[in-house]
Amino acid sequence: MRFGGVTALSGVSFGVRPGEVCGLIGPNGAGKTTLFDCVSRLTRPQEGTITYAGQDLLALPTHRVAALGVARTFQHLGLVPSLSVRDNVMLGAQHGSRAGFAASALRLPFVRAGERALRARADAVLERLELTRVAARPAAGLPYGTLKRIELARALAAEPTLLLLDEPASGLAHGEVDELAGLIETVRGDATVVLVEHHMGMVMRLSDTVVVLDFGKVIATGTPAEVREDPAVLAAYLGTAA
Amino acid sequence: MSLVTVVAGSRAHRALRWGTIAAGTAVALAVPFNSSPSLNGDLTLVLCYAVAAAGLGMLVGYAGQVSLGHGAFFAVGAYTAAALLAKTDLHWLLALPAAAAVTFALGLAFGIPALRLRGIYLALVTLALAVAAGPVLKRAEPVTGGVSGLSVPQPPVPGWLAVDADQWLYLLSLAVTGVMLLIAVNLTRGSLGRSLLAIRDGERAARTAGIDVARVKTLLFATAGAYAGVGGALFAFALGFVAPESFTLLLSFTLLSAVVVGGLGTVAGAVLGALFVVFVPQYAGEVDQALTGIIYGGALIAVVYLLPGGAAGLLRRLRRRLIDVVEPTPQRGDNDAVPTSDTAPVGGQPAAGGVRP
Ligand SMILES: Nc1ncnc2c1ncn2[C@@H]1O[C@H](COP(=O)(O)OP(=O)(O)OP(=O)(O)O)[C@@H](O)[C@H]1O
Ligand SMILES: [Mg+2]
Repeated sequence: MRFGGVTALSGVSFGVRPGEVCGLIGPNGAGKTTLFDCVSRLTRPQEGTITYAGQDLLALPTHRVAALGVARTFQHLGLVPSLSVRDNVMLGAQHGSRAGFAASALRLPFVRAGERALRARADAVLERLELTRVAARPAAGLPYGTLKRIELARALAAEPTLLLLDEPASGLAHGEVDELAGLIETVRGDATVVLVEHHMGMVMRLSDTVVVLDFGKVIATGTPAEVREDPAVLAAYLGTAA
Repeated sequence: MSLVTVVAGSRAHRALRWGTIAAGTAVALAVPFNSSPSLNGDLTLVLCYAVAAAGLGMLVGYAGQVSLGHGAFFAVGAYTAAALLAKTDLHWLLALPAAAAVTFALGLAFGIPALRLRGIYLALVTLALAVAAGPVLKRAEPVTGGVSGLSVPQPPVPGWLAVDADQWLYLLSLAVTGVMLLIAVNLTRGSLGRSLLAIRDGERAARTAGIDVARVKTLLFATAGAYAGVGGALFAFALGFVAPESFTLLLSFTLLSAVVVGGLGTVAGAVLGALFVVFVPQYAGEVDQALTGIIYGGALIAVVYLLPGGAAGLLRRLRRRLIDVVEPTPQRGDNDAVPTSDTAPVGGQPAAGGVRP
């Protein structure tokens, strides 16, 4: 994946087993977000393949990816400020909705029923993330930690089979990070999770496998314990720290 | 502080809402029987513009796309109805869906390539459409009657209804407007309404949520075109005559003014904006012709700077003074516990930007 002269990802190759939590780490600018953007088809890599559940993702238009069960959060938030918190979460859940222009214009019974079902689903997720009391508020104007949780709620409401989390813990207080880790723990099994995080404690604790990116290349793959000992990883992190 | 507090979705809330709708309908039905034929004629024009403005309001307010060429769709709708009634035996009622279908198709044909364009480019291309409409109408003489225009046989008053022609045209337009506004409300709520706002304010979120952005934009553009087409068809009914000078470039700006002054993307705004563009120039023109332009311009600037949300937004704020609608919360007062300081932009990276009304 290149942006003009910048090569953000090159020759990256790794697989994620269904049902596992895969930690994806690397120094700033390593290409983690860009990788997510490729999987969710917000950008198109110039070469390579991305396969999910037997489907070639690069052959699909962006809006079809959600129907495969892929949901993500955005590092810098991707909420719709003009919608209420509940509507933001319902937006995440509505990808299967059959309410097109004609059906919506007439507000056919199935449109109403679909809307009720979506609302129930969103409310359940809001409840689970303790967001019920802000459900009716506009997303704009809430504290950052709350927005991060709404972002996660939107992704969870899609009932994904592949959940891409881009730095869900950044900007959260200590206690909130632990809650988040507990929550990801409960998702395990329902969905395959790819977790991008700078919060090492959390990544090492949750991940079955860890993939380390640096300058757009995979420099290590393995269990948390293996990766922690890997000289290349140590060099990358110490190198950027120095 | 508000005078009354009602809980959203409660019986009282619903009663208030339906009461308002019923009262509005009653007033709208009573007006033609208590006014002059010329005022009824003007009010019928208000309805024509209100339909067109409702469509344009969805496009601008919900999808954040500015069309400067909406008058062209209005013209095509008017001419479609006029030509069908003047040259065929078609029942007038069928002229309405015909005008809608033609303008919808035109919107699709035009929208598919145009919606690859963003912001200023879309505005310019639609402007070109508006500029071209007049000359095309003049040239296409066999269908449009050229410069001299077309006489339209107006819908006759049905035998079972003891009303005058002006009252009938008003009531007929009112019924059509009511249906069109109801459809507009339906389109802008639920999943589709959320999709539209997401496309405007958070396109990345929209795309990852499985929304086919290009398709929705194109269909909305065509739908807005069809609204203008129906408005134009009503206009042809109301005047009984169509000629190119009714559909100048100014018409496109008039419609856009109606949308902005009335309040973007709201049904009430479409009606209020239409009242504004029909009546304000009339009263201003009585004082001085030049005053119309000044008042128009002044009102637009005032709305943009002082009245975000337009006239409908003002009404909403006034209503809030009287009636406070609160969410049903199990633990009342809990909402106040949420700190509102330390806020962050929620849309993320600049890619999430768009036209924000
Ligand atoms: N749209 C873009 N245009 C140009 N360069 C880009 C673009 N997006 C990302 N890049 C570049 O690609 C590289 C990888 O960026 P990316 O955001 O994927 O890193 P990251 O691993 O997510 O970093 P961080 O930990 O800071 O979030 C960086 O050098 C970045 O500057
Ligand atoms: Mg990143």
